[in-house]
Amino acid sequence: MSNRLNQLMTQQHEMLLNQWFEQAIAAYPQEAHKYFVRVKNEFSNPVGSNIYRSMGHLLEELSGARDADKLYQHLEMILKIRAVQDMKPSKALAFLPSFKNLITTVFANEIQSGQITRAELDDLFTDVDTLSLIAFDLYSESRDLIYNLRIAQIKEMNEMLQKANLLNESVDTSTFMRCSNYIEEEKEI
Amino acid sequence: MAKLPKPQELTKIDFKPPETSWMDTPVEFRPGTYSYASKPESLEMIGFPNPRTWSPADEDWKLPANWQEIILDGLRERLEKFRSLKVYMDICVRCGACADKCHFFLGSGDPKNMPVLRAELLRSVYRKEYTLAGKLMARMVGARELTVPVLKEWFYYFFQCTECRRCSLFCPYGIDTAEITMIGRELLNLVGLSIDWVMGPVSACYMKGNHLGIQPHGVVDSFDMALDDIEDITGVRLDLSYNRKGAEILYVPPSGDVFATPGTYSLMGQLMLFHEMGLDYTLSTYNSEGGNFGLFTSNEMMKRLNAKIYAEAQRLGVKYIIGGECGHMWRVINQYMDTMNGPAPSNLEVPVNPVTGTVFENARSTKMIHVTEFTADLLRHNKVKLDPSRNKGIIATYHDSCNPARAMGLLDEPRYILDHCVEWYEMPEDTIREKTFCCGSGAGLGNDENMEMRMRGGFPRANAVKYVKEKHGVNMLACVCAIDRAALPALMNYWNPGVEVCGVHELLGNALVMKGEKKRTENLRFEPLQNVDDEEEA
Repeated sequence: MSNRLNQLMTQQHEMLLNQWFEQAIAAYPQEAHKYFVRVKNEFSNPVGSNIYRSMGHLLEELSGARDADKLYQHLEMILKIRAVQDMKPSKALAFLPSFKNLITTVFANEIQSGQITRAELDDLFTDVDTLSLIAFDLYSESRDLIYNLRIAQIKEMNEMLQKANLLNESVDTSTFMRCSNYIEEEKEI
Repeated sequence: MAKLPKPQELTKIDFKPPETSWMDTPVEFRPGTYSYASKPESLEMIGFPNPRTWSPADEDWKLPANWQEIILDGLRERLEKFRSLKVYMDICVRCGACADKCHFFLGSGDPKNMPVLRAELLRSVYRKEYTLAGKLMARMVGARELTVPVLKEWFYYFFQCTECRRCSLFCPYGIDTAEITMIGRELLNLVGLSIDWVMGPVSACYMKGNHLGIQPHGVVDSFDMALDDIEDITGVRLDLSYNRKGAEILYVPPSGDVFATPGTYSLMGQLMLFHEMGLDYTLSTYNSEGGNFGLFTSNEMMKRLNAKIYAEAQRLGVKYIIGGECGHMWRVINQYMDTMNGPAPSNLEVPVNPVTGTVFENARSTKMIHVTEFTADLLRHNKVKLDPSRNKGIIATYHDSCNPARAMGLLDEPRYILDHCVEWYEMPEDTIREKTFCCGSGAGLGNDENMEMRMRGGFPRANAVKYVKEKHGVNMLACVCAIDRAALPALMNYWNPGVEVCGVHELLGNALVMKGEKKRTENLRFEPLQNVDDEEEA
């Protein structure tokens, strides 16, 4: 994988990451955007810091070995975060295809001059496309998990109410002893 | 023909600030981000206004014709009644110290989740109605009319606040944003706007003494099940008493611990400890709930539900009360009970630990202590025999439940118990003790339909757990709140699979050496103990 494109991506890591992160984080309202970019403490800014860190690892992998397991692992956190936020799936995932645009813009001269070959670019872009598909899996899995957590909670609640015979509608709840009345009665005695 | 946007354009569509100002941007009720409406029967049960079937997603919320008048009169009445509210409405200088302290803002990026802006939803209407500047120069001073979209916004965001009070901690003026949310919800209730997960438990609690609406015999059944399990695990049969007059102590657990796992394990630990100490205590089947969803409804409802604690303590003639591992219950007890339903009945005395003789001066007024205060005191005096090796395999961390931490300063007692029972590690500094992050599901938001919002709001907490999970191999999140125990398992399943949730007394119960017990091979969850090999080797 030691090609010119990878070398350039490694050299320009910081700049690429910041621009890529900026694109991804543009998905949030202005006030949040500022905060997510500015605050570095990972516990005070869990969204910004996790996305930044994960994108940094992704970029490192994309500039080097492109290990499938590692790429998957670094994508996971970003998609988990986005799956519970107010954004459509297309926007949640758009940071991946937009990476291609970033590369062609930043390295326009090198591509023009042939320093970066078409084959290198195709190779990277094919991997980014694959990553987009994996991200789609991860996003869907996260959404499925949310629904499963919902179902689990409903089931638990149902079991509990069933045990207490509170799901049987024929039970006339109006005859239940009212604890407040009970206390009043006791006082009278 | 519309052109497909480029991916880099796609990230930005809809997400740059809307053209309209925050005051004119209506909310969208998208499934997963709001709680279902309260049912009419719940409101009828407690005599609340405007009972009807409706949904937040409906265009027409079936409000009473004079709803504006009702709410504005209600606000006026409360401004006169609560000096604190008047101060909170006037004093905020919008410095922004609270802005980034809310877990819902940190998890979502929605600016209206910034506490300052959430409060501004109410303040903007206050200014318009009650300040001269607001009447004359509405837009300039951030004042606006109370309209249906504004009301919907109130509903959306006041039921997106867990009343955890983390923001209040950072406010230089001491504005309690949770109290603003409480008033907001109280006003909404005047026109029949609340959520099922709050009003269902409130009406059930009012009728039957606990949030789940379990009748007295069902309460006894649940305790019996816990006793059966304790006997299977330890070989010791505990004897409980219900509604026993003349007992020294009334024990009031949160009902979540009586009916649902993993809370039941924590309850078992407490019952085992009480037995071992020979405590003269009783349980009430009528006051079978320490929690108080009235806190999430209105002052009056909170008072009505809280009244039963002193009423039962008086009826049974006990000397003092021990409350269980509950969260918001302790805000009500520590900050409101005394003035709402006090002074405590004359039969109650300042709590004294019968085993150690410690006088709980901190409870001189309420006559009610937290169970971890009681247990920590026992441990301090070496009154409890423990075998922490039974918790081998568990690596815990401690989540400060918001209300015990911030509303009563209960910070060290649970930690002291953990020190004696289990290997455990603190989460990072800004996420614990009084700065603790909320579970994201308190104040009635722990329902299933709100799951997406809960995962968002709980992310800052989960993120801190992730850190200790990766650094120390933490696999157990201990806490002292029944809502936490109900809500955190889902949060952990989403963000940190493999981390389970427990109450601190579950870990104590595992380690507790009881007189006459059989050789313990299982923990309170019926899972095999991991110290067995060590013992055999020894």
